[in-house]
Amino acid sequence: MYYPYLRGKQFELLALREFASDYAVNCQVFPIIEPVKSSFNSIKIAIKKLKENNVSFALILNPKKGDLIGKVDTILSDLNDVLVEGNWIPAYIVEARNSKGIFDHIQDMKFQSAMLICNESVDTNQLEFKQLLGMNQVSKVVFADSNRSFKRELAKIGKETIRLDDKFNVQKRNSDYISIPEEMFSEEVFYYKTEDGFAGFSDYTVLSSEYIDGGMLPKALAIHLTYQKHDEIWIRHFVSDTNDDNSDIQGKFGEAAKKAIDFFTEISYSNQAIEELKRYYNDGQYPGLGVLKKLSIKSHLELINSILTSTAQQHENL
Amino acid sequence: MSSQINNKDRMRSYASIFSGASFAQLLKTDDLDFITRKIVRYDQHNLGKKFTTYSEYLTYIYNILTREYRCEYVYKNEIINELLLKNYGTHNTVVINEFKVGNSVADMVMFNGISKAFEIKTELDSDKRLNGQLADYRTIFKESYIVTHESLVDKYLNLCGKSGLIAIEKHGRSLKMVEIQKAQIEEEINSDILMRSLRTNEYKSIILTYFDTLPNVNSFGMFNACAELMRQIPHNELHKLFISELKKRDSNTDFLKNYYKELRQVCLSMRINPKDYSELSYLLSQTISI
Repeated sequence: MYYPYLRGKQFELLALREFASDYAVNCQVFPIIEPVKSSFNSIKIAIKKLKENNVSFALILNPKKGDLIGKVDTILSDLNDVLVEGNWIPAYIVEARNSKGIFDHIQDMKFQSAMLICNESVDTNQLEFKQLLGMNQVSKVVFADSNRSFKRELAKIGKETIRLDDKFNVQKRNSDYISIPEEMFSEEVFYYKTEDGFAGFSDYTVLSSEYIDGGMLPKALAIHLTYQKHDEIWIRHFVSDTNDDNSDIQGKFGEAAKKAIDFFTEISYSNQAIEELKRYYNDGQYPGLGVLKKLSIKSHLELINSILTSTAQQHENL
Repeated sequence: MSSQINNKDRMRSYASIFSGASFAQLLKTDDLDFITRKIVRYDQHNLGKKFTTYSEYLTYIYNILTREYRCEYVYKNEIINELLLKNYGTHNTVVINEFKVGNSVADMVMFNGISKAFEIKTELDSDKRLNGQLADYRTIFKESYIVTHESLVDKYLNLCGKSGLIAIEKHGRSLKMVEIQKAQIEEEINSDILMRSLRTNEYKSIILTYFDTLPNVNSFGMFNACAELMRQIPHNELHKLFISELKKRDSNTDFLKNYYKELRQVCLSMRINPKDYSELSYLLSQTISI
C-alpha cells in the first residue's frame, strides 16, 4: 500500500478527489492528510469524495504546519459531519515529548485504531513512547527507514510498518531543473514488501517535504512528472525555454507542456493526468500553476497505483 | 552609547508592528499579542497614561516614529495621507504598492488623469540603484518622483534629473509633503516594458480597446502577438489606455480615508475591505490587557 503524505491545501486535495473518483475500484493508495488551512471547505469536499469511493485515509490531528497547529478540537468539530467511522483513521505526529498526550487523546476519544508518524526527534526507548506504541489501537506506524532496531521491534509486536522517505529533490529556482532533465525518484514501490518487509511506503509525492504557503510568479515554469524506467520510478522536469523574466506565463506553459507531451508520446505512457495536460495544450489554454501541481501529484498517484495493482494481480495469479 | 543602540532597536521594533502579515494574522486569529509584546517590553509604564486602547497605542508609537525614525512605512503612509487624500482625492485615483517596471519595483504608483511613480529614499536608504530605478519608471510613467527626508533635499536635487522631488517635512506635530521640484512629463512610453508590467487581461483589454479585435492566436502566442500590436499604438494613446486600464484594478483606494490614519498603508497593502476593517477596528478599540 502507498501512503502519500499530503498537506490539505486546495490543489493537493483536488488531486486526491479526482484520483479517488477515477480509481475507486482496486485502490492501493491510502493518503495521509495533514490539515493546514483554517477554512475547511476544500478538505470537507475531498473527504466526502474519498468516502463515496471507499478510499481510506489517515487524518493528522496534531498538524505541525499551517493554521491548525494545536487545534485538534477545531479539526474534529469542523470535520465531524464528514468523518465517518471505518473510512478514516486518526494519525498523530510523534515528537520527543508528546507521547503521553497522544496516548490520552486516543483513549479519551475512544478511537479503535490510530496511526503514528514518528519524526526523527522521537526516542524510541522512552517509556512514554513505548506505552503509546504498545496500545492495541495503534495499528500503523510510519517512520524514517533509517531506524533499523525500531523496525525489528515493531515487527515483533505486530504493527503495520510504513517507511517514510523524502524523495523530491527540490531546487532553489525552477530554472535550476534545466541542468537535471531527469533523475531517479524512488524504487520502494517494487521492493518495500518483498525485500524490505514493510507493510507500506510513504513519501511527500512529487512535492517538497517543506511546508510552503503561497509563492511568487516564477521566471521559469517547470512541470514535474514521474514514470517507470525498468524497476525504478524516475522523474522528469519539463522546463520552459523563455525564462528571462516572469511575464507571459502562458507562453512558458506552452513550451514546457510540449516537451512533456512529446516525451510521454515517445515512451507510450499515459494516464488521466497526462491526458488532461494534453487537452490544455491542444486547446491552447493555460490552466494555472495550481492545476499543474494537481496534475503532477495525480499523475504520480496514478502511476504508483497502477504498478501496485498489477503486482497484486500477478501475486493472485501465482 | 548603549542607550542609543537600544533606542534604535526599539524604533525598529515599533516599525515592525506595521506589517501587513501581522495584521492579516490578527484578523485570522484575533491575537493581539504582537502588539502586547511591544507594550510589555517598552511602554508598560505609560499604559493608562498615554494610551489605554490598542488603537491609541498605535497612534502613540506612530507619532514616535514620525519624530525619531521615519522608516519606509511612515513615508508610504504619509504619501496616502498627504498626497493622495489631501491633494488628489480618492474618487478618481487608484494607488498601488510595489509596482514592477522593467528591472525595478516602484514603491508606490498612482493613476488618476496621469500616471505617477514614487521612489522613497529615507535616511536609511542608499542611493545606489536610484538612476536605474528612475530610468525604469520613466519608461512607462508620465511623472516620477523621489520622496525623501527634509535633510536630504540638496543631495537628491542633484540626483533627480528629469524626475521630481518631494520632501517630507515636520510641521509642528504632523508631517507635510512639500514639492521641491516638479517632475518633467514623459511623452514617450516603452510598450515592451509596459507589456511586462501588465496582467494578461490588462494587455488584452488594451489591444481589444484600440484594435477592436484580438490577434487570432492561441493563448501561448498571445503575449508576443499583443506585444507586436502594442508597438503600433501611438504613445499618447498608449499612455491613456494604460492609465484607464490600471484604474480598473481591484483596489480599496476609495475606502482608505475612512480608515485609521496610522494604518492606511497597512490597509492598502492588505487591500482590506470595509467589512474586515470594521472587524480590525473593533479589535483595536479594546482596552489593552496585559
